[in-house]
Amino acid sequence: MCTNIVETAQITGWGKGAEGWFDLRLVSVSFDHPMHAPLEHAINIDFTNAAKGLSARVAVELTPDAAQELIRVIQAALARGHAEGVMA
Amino acid sequence: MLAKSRAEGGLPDDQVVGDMAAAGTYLRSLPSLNGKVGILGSCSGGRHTYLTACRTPGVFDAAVDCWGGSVVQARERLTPAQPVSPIEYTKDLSCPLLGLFGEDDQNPAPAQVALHEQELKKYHKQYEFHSYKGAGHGFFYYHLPMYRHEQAMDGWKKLWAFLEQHRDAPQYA
Repeated sequence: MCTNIVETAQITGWGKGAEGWFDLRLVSVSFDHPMHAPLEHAINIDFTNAAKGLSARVAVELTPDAAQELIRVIQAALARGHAEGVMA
Repeated sequence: MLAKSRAEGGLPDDQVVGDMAAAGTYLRSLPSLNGKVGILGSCSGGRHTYLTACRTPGVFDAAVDCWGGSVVQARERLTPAQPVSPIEYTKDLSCPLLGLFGEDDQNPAPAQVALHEQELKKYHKQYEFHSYKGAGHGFFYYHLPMYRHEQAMDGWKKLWAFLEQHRDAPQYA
């Protein structure tokens, strides 16, 4: 089914797409039909910059379990960084 | 385009209907046409097919809705892009409709398919619905785990038979 489950956030970052590195402005996370993954539903993450056109996109499709692992390792890295005084 | 569309909450229904109406009208202008135009879609395309068939009188001669989710769309799931549940337009459906569904699907779930059929009967619309046991959503998709061979083969057979039947039929009013 098309779930229409999507969450977005404005972000600051950089991503490497087909044509090299570009500024990221938006992350979109959907829990819906993937385009490539052999799954009925996946966590589909798109990092984009609309001002640079449709090709300015880094796309990732994860199983829900992999998405939970991603959350865990991101949070773990941030926690360690904060604990060790790592500054952005 | 998919990423952009998803991030924006999907294509607006009015845009979809406008584009499909224009496509159908263009097809009717082609000298090679036999005079009949059909519209077919699956998943959100099934919903778009139903929506378009209801909102474009005289453009399409047959419509095929393959497991279109959210034809019966709950009020809390309406959005600015999808402000009206497609089922609300049923009285204006202007062509025969074929619906193919999997009984294990969750959107549309069997209860929603039943509501859809109830509405079609209420307005005396010409339709045929087929719901397949052992199949869920997207059971035609041969490259994905949802594929169900027997159900897909039968579904395709019914689809072509439906289109053959209505290829030479007078336009349904």
